[in-house]
Amino acid sequence: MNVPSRSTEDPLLVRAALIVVAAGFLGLFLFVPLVAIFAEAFAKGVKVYFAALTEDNARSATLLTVSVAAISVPLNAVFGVAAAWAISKFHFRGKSLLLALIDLPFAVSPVVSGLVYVLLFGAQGLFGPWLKAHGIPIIFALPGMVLATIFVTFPFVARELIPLMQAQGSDQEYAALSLGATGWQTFRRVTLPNIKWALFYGVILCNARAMGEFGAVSVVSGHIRGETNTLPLHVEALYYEYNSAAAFACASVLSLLGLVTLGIKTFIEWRSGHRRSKH
Amino acid sequence: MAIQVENLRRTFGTFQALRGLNLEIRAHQLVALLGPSGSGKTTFLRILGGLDFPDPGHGRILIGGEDVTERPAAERKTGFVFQHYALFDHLSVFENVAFGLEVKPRAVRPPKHAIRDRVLELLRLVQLEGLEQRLPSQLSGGQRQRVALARALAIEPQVLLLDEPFGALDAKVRKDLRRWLRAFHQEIGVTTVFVTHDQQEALELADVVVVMNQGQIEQVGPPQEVYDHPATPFVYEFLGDVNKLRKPGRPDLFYVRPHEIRVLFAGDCAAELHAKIEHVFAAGPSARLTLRLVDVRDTIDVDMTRQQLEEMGLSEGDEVGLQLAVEPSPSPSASASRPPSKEG
Repeated sequence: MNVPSRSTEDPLLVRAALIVVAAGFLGLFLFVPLVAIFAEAFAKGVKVYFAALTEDNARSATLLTVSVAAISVPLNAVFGVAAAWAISKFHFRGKSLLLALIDLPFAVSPVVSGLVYVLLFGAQGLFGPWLKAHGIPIIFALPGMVLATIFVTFPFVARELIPLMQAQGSDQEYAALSLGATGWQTFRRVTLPNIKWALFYGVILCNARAMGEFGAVSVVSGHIRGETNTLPLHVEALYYEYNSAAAFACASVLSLLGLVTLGIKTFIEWRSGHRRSKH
Repeated sequence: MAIQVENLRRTFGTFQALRGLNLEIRAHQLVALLGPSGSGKTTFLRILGGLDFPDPGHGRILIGGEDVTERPAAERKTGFVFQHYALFDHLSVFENVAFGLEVKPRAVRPPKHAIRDRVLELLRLVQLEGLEQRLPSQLSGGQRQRVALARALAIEPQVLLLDEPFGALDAKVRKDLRRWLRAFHQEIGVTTVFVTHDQQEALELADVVVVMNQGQIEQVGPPQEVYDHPATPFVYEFLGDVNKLRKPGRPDLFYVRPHEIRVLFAGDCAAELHAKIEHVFAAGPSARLTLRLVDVRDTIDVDMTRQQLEEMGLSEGDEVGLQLAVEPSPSPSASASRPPSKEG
């Protein structure tokens, strides 16, 4: 293990102060709100809590959230792998432009990205009349929400894979090709096993964001109760109706999702650290 | 199988990595591509292996008489061994070696037991029996390199291509593995091309040395011929130590190796040149003297036995006479096409 470095031999007082500051900050800004969510959710009893979750509008919101994530996460996983593959294994013109485009959703406010879809596909938008004439609903319907979610969450998988694949280089792929493997065999037997944990982690993050996305989805959803409200939008609606027990009950589901994501992330990091120490 | 390369060119953007290579390699030979970094030798090897391709329309590659220029790596049947092994980290040694057999289309894939026999035989051949269940991360550098070799041989390649095969190993392992590879090649007889920037390695190991510089082939020949009769100034300087010197009163440059100069006492009438000893380095089987020539002010190196050095009682600051043990070869012309000079 590491030999203790000098910095860990600072006076006890300094160490204690740093730990207290860090722990106090985390407690105040992360732990207390988390506890508050669950406290509020259960404030009127377990019965009210479960009633709020199983009520029709809540169920439809949950179902919609899961559907949006179920469509957009796999698409972004495929897109992320393809983009990371292209960027890390090939040299081509416009590579830095592609990298910048992948980061765009991080740089742009989700509300703006929602608005762009409204401008393109909305009733007054560029393609609006044509879509209306052909009876294809996008804005204020599932397709629009999926599009907005895909846009907002597409950096997660690619961003997770690019540094790893760049570090690994292409020699193993070349070796597989020279041994007679086809492109698909090379991907499945060599590339995929090498990136599987990073890919899994990227998908988990992408999923958490897809289910929790508020801004972009809020713009394109139209807030139709029981139809186009996702879970985060449902929480907002309940909260503005002063139904705070139900709002917090639904919020607690989203918080749990976050906690589970965190747990999986820790597990993956522990696992890859474990593997590395074996090397 | 024999390899023929005709007028091969490769350009990266504006950089000409290969400027029209022509080369013939006979079957069963062990060939070294020798050159400094940036000379194009690895690019050339990758093109031989189908991992890269020449500029369209510029060059042909024939393996066993068959034109393979356009054929991708997967269809070329060349075994490629990478400098950093490129073993599949998540697969065991056994699975690594079996990979090339496992990925064959079902119709031509050998049955499981045949794959198993072949892999175990190959591991015996590279002296790694009993390690088949290990992961690459549990092996030493030399062992990994031999796994990579066994993996490349599993597909029964027509040609074996090795990119700096000993580059990542420490000096001792390097030496052992070099000797082992020589014997190994004699045993399996596959035409083998390896890239190296180490002239010692090339001269010791290869049947034929191909000296490359700036995307061109400077000289091709057996090690001794290339060393004794360098075709170009570049080859002269790249292979072994060499002194460039001018005789007094003559304008042309001469190339003389340090062991080709005899050291005499200062007053000796056989002396052709006069010099002063600047430094004596005697920690080794022979002694090396750094001398400054009196007339032309050039610095040269001279090798002599330690016995000689002691008998003559030379030390730093002494004046000595020099005799050229061989008639120095005049500076070879820069053209690679010129036959090696025989007048030495």
